[in-house]
Amino acid sequence: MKITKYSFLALIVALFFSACEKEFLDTFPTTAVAATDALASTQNAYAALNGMHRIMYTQYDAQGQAGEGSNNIFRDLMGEDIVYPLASGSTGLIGFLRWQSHRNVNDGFLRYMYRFYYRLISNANVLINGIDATPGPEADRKIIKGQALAYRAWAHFQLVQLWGKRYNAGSPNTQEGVPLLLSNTLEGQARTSVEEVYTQINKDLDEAITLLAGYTRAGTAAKSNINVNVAQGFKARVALTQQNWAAAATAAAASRQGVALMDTTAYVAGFNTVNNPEWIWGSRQIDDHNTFFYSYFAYISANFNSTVLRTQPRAINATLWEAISASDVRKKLWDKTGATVPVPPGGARVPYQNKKFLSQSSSSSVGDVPLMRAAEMYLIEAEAKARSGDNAGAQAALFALVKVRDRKAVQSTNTGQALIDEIMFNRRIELWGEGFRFTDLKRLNLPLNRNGIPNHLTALITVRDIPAGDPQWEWLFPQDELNTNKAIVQNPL
Amino acid sequence: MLDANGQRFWDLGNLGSSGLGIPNRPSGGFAGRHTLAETTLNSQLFTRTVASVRSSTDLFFLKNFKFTNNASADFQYQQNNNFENTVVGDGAPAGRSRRQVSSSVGLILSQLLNFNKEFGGHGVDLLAGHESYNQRDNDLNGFKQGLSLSGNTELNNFTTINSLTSALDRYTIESYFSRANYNYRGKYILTGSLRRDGNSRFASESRWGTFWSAGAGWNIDKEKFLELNWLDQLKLRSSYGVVGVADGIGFYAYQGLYGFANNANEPGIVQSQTAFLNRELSWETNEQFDIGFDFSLFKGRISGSFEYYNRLSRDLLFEVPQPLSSGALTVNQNTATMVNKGIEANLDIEFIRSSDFVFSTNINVSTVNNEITKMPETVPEFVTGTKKYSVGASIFEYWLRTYYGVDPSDGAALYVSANKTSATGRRFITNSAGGIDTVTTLIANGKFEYNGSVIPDLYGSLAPTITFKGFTLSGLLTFQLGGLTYDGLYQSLMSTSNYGGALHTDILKRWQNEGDVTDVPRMDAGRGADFNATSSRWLIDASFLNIRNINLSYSLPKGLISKWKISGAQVFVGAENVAFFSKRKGMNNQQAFSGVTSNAYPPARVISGGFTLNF
Repeated sequence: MKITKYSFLALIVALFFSACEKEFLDTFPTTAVAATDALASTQNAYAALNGMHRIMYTQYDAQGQAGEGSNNIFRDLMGEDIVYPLASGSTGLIGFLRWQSHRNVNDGFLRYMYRFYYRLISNANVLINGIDATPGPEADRKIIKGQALAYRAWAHFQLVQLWGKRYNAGSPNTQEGVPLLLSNTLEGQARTSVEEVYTQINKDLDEAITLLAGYTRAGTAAKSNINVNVAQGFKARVALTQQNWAAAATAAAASRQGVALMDTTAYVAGFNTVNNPEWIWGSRQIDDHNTFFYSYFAYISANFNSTVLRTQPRAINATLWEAISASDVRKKLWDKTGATVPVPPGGARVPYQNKKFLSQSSSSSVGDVPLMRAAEMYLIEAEAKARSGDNAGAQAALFALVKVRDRKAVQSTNTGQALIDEIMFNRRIELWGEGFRFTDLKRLNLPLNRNGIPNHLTALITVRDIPAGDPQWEWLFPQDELNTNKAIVQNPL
Repeated sequence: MLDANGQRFWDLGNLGSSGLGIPNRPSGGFAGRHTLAETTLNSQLFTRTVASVRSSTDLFFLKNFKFTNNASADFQYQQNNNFENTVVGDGAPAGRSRRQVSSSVGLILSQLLNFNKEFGGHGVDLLAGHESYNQRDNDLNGFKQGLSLSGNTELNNFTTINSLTSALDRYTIESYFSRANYNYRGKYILTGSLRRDGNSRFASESRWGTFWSAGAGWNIDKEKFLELNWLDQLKLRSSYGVVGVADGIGFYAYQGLYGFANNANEPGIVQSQTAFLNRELSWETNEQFDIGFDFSLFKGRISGSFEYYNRLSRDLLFEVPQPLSSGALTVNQNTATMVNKGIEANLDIEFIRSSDFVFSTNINVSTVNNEITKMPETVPEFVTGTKKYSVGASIFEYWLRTYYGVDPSDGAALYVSANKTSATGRRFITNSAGGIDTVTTLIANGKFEYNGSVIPDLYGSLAPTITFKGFTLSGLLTFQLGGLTYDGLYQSLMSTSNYGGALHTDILKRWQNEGDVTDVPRMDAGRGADFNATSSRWLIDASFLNIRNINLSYSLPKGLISKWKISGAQVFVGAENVAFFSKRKGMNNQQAFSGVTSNAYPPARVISGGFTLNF
């Protein structure tokens, strides 16, 4: 009896102290990996780099926030050339058309854009500062670090163009730029001068170009990677903005090295595939990327079936379109009556309607996002040469592009300002919807002037003129940054 | 509408080009959207299955000992089937279908050892135990588009995968605990407890916390010196305890993570902007002190309780916002230490008690006061939504730009200026005292200030009951006095940036002509971001009176019903959510304690009636 009693007690004691195994309280997610894994091998670091390519087009907080493609739409909406034609149509993204979103500290789009570029920088910094100690082949380390440096440079460049006062060559450029993040910290960083930001951008780009020498992109999403051509393209854009004409022309020529211009058939095929030979850099989207109603094509294409595009199809500045030569293939990207546009079911037809961009189908907003094309590089080279007085060089660079777009075209004989105007006109029609107009106006210190454009509706745009140098050319820092970063000084209101 | 063959079809608002002379619908009812058609043609089925298993084994031994082994398991299975049609709405024209399946198992195992003994008026009750909690959540989501043949919404019938994801999540807690109760002849009561908890939300070196409590009670009415015939009960009680809290943060709160982000078909991972390693993250603790008394007088004619409480919450767990330029959005941290204190009083009174007529009521009244007493050095303050956490403030105090009013000269909305030297949008307004106020029309230069608190001066309930002969009339009223609500719904109904959309009738009071004195700015599509911005303009007194329910019942006299061998019969009629009175008509500010309104269904008004019979 006693024995049973005691063995029974022992059982209780045993049960009582049968504490769970030590690992019982160690739980880990299945939809994520430990941050330290990113640098465990070059193979993992490649995955972390691919993640950066992905966040270039993933969805953020709201519809219409789909990474750089969306940002390009925002910047072009702030120019003269994208028209919202219907007073009673969708008002999606209208805050940019009206020059409000970038000046409203509480605007979700402003916050998103600022967040977008710094998110890329933060991911790049992990790789830049950690890859040297990551085990794996040296060649892989160079490719990863080179791309991360190029990303960091490009993201800082996009930020400083919007939030900083314009770069003015020949002045010290001590005006406030943006926080320069070269290593990751949660401590709020102050703004660095515009000159310092550009110095670092160029340093990062030069190092990237060295590291990426000889790198050949591969894989199903090859063109979303940054190779030497892309890095040189960044360099060309940066130099153009710094009014460093010689460097811009050289880098632009280097960027399009080995890249062919597309033919007139490809030109009207919808600007939606990285397989287009002319694309130097672009995001590749596939069906299960879930693009729904947020993607680039959900806000710029002619055919996707969303309320935004059905009720407010995009159109081009009528004056600009009328000025395009009838034999130029680019004229076919917009329809003067809208009759030939492949509108979605129930979609509106309007004059000067866009059909440049076509999504996969009316039921799928999937499409590859163009981020850099050879045409831009010809135009940079032409502009840089024209502005530095090399009329012949500029005419040749421009003609190299135009002759492919318009078989009847002859080489321009314009010089000086007339030649520059011709190049800028080509820039506007060639790069419509690809995100250059706002920064072009800003870098050249030009006013916004929407007067005399017949299809802009005053009720929708509300703003026709912004003088050159007006404080509104500087984007405001979002309230969420001001709340958390005491070192930030807001731009003048 | 009917087509040429007399068949019915939906007017999707896009008949502008149909030749029928019908214009396209404008914004607010956009072409291609149709609430009724979409609801009719789409299908949604949500099913949930819940099962629980409980097992308990008691072993009694050595006279006063008891060993209990408890096991419980809770199972939950949910499936959401969702189909969107090919004709109209988000699914058109391809048609799409979604299947979301989730299952959750929560398993609790506990072992308790209990000792209970009474001797010479002393009562002792001791408990020691161990418990583990193990939760496993499985999710599977599939989403396809491209309907093949109509009539079947299963995924096989669609052509293209939009997304296909699954996840397994685990959450575990382990606890060791003990409790001791002692009483002497039911007069004096002492309790004490001590426990140690480990939680998987924290890192191994930070996950264990030790918590305890102590309490005492004194039933004064059982003392000989207080034998009064009008006193039924009088109990004095007090307790102090510390408990640990691990809520408000995710399952993997301390971990630094990268999420999956494949680039086309290439494997990819990307930094999570809300998951940064913080191995110091640990328990939030609540230290609660209360003292009070319960009483009952005059054979229950008056009874109630009164309590004062003081609760100190230390190291509040919070997803603290970070500079966007850091690449982080939030980091999980232990932050503020704050005090909540106040009184709670509960009173039951029978004003009239006679054989035919009883009139009684219950009154419940509470107050609460909240103040942040300490912030960690690393996080001296932070802004979250409409609030700012800082020492001396309350977590319920609004941190908003201060609204000033409307400029009678042009109807611009005015805010108190943060930077008075900034000339853009600056206005000088002569105030009622004859001074000059510097204000701004730019929301970005509006000054942030603490603008009052959510917390009411007083809140409570009143429940009167009247019984006359067989009739009983009862009701429940809840009320709040003071406090402020941020009425975001009203803000959106007063927003005039875009065409179309519903507006509040207050928009009729907008500024229209020079000299108009009003509190509603001019309607200006171009300035909505400034004129209708988040500010103290949208705060409103949160006082309310809610008639929650009224019930009337009648019990048929026994003499009348006994001949049918019925022992009891009752007829009743009742109404739930009878009326709600608040400062603004239609504003239901009972939704969230943060004081912010949101679109939600108001509680349904239910009127019911019936009868009961007992045989």
